[in-house]
Amino acid sequence: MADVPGDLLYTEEHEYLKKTGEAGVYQVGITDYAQGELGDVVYVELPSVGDKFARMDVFGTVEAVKAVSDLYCPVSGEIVEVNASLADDPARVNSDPYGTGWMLKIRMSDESELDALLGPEEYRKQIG
Amino acid sequence: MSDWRLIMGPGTTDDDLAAGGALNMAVDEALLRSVERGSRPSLRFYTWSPACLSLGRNQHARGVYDPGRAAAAGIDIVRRPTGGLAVLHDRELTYSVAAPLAPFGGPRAAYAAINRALLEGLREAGIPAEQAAAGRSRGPVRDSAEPCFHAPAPGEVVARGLKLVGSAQRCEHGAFLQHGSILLAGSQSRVGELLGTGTAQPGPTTSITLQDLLGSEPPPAPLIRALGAGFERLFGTRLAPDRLTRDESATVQRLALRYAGGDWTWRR
Repeated sequence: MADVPGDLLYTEEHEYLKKTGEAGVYQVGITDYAQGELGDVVYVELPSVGDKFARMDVFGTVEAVKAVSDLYCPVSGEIVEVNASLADDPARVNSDPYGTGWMLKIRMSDESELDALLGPEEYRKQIG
Repeated sequence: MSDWRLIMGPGTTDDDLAAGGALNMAVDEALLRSVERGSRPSLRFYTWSPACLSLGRNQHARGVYDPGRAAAAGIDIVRRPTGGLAVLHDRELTYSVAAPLAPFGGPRAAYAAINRALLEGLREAGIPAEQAAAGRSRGPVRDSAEPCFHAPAPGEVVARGLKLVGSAQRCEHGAFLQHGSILLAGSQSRVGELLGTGTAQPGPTTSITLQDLLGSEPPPAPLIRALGAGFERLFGTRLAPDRLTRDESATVQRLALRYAGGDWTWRR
């Protein structure tokens, strides 16, 4: 059974959004369900700090075994940090998706977009 | 599942299988985009002329492969939209599938299902193929000069324990593209001849061809019929011969420019 933490928000495309200590800044990664579906992650392509994205823009790709999948930005905003350690150890996405396998931190430009994300119960229902 | 489209070659004629690398990748991506917009799944068969080295989407190529050596050998280079590692497309048959992900259950399930359909078809053609055993997949792709056919990944199609079909996949917007190379003859070790002088040669490839198995290089037409029958049986579908629509042809023209450009091929 995939881990769906109760304090996060989710997208239908299996990204999660997690609050950081800084107001308006959220951590983004893919869910435990998504990493399980993909299999062993071998490469993560991430944007640069300062890049700006609108909600559901493609911000990068994740490659697992031989499958490349797009990564979608859950909310609009500016990238303030990316997890550079994934370049050397992409398997962290599998072993600790909500912790050391995080992908980026984004400063939201419109926090009302949080309302469009799925809560943990809704996301659990989606992944059945 | 509903009827699938059967597309041959560049999708503009019924019997010409061959096209250049950029056009081949553009047609595959255009078929994926059609499925994303609600079109029926497609199964496509094609070959490559001239011979072409295809690189995985995220594979390092700059400073690894030598475009001068490739040009001198008459081999084109293109970067695929899918993952995985380098494949030399010469004396082989390529298949591609574009379909919605949901009926398959996810990327890995789709990968396994397509491989089962290929197996079904190869056995129909009298080829003793099987699926590679589960195991650890390879490590990070970014520094690897290893060709795709260096080693089978779990679930891939092998014969006598050696890799016969090398496949790769891309997923986006609820649809997937999976394409792969079925080796008819020749040797994938020629990939090593295209490496730059500063790149260490990978070890010997562990691939096998249909010529190795059957004693002679099989013509593509009966093989395509057998593979098609495998897909029809496994997925309970019927393959309907089809060509690209006018919209798809326009998309192909646009995408082919990108695939032919150095910005994409040498992006990493």
